[in-house]
Amino acid sequence: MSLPDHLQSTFSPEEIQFIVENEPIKIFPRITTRQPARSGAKGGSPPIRCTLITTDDASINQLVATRSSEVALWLALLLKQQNKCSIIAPQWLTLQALDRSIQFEKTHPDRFSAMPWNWLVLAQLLFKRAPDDFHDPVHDLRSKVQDLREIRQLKVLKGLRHLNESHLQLDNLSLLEVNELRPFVLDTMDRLREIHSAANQDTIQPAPADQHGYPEPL
Amino acid sequence: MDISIDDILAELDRDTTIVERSDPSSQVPLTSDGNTTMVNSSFDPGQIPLRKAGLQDDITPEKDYTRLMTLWRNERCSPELLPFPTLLMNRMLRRVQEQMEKIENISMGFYEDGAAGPSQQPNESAFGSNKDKLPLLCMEAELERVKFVIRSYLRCRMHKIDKYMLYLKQLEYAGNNAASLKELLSEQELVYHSRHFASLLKLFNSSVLRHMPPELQAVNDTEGSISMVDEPEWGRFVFLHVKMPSERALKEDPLLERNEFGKPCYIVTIQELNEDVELTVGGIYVMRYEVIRDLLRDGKVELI
Repeated sequence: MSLPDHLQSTFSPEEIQFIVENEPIKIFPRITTRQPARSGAKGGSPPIRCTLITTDDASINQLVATRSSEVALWLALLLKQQNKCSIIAPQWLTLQALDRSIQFEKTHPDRFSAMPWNWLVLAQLLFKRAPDDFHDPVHDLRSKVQDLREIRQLKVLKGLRHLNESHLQLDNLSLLEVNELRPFVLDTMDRLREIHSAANQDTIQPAPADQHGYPEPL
Repeated sequence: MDISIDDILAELDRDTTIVERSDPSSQVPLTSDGNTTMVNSSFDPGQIPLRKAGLQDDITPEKDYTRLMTLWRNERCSPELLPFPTLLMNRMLRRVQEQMEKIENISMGFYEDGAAGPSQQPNESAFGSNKDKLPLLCMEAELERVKFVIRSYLRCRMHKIDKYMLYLKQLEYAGNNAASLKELLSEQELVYHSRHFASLLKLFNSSVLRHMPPELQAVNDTEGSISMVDEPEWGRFVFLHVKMPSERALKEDPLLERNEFGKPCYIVTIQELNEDVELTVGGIYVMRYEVIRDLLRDGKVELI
């Protein structure tokens, strides 16, 4: 097949990371790429400009050292790798904010706290690639994130009891958590739906097939 | 006494910032071909510049890429084959081509500099070329990312074309839907579909089918005990995220309603269970595909 089996109904974790890497993030550049207004006097060829086709290339061409600016995460990681910037951790990735989230998770057993949809991936990426840019000690942050993850996993496990044949609402679940649940939840609910519709076939007429505007079978 | 002046401020804002950015997602995004807002000549004169600004604003490389990402994710998650975004894909491929040529040109320039530079001012040129590698690095990395998305998207579509081969063939034979197959598939995909079908049919015919009695020779028999035509599973469950509609859509969209908490939501009906479900804006749901199909076409929800 043109698509490998394990990718046919879900994303791989690497692809999830790829999606997350498109998000903007704030950085402190350590280089200046902005052209001084009177550079013409110096002569010589102008330096090469970075022209990008997926993100706004103005942001990368206007960098001034130590003045924070916003670029895509993959670009930030690339710059960080070259030691050309430091990444500013987002607001929620501090000990205080994580503590608040953990408190919220503990006091509200029936819902998930409002973490951003990419929190788990972003935290792992930053811990790995930019551990020296945090104000709080990284090992503390790591253990808090782990705590949060475990609390949420417990809630997910409790929620699995409510799988049914109609629908499910999972607000504030992050992308990675959705992705690891996906094969199990979808398959289980599909089976439930099949059993349900098979049992009710006599009493309730199934939805007419031509509702979608497709032709009758030949 | 409090006088709310928000609307007056908003009016002032609109005058100062010429390009209207208030509702980037409202102008029928994801019309599946990327061909949005037609500039209609019958607009009143005051409207035209705004429209034009909106049009130019709409087709930018960044927006196209975001749209491609959404299409890719939808395609990967949905059980059916979604329409092919011809115009969007043409634009993307053209940009990739141009970018490749540009990188080529720039790196040629590097060699010239390296050859000529050291003779004059060895210090500065060595420093300069080292610094100048960065943009090139970024451009190459980005190009690889775009190419990956496009490749993965097309491969996913090919997988579905294989899977629903007979079903798509049926759409083609149905006559009145011949046009729909054309907008569902790109030209190359049409060629792939018909040729792959022909060669597979030849294999089946020569190896097995010709030894069968004539009434059992059809590969698309739907009358027998099991239908041979694999239809997409319309009822399959998918994870979906209800997108935040723009300001204008909030007021004008007829499908949007308010629930008891005052939050906007779409109301959909699951026919089989006779059940109404509120899809609150910003929420994540597990829902049957057939129920949310129209919302997905309109770009009001996205699959995750």
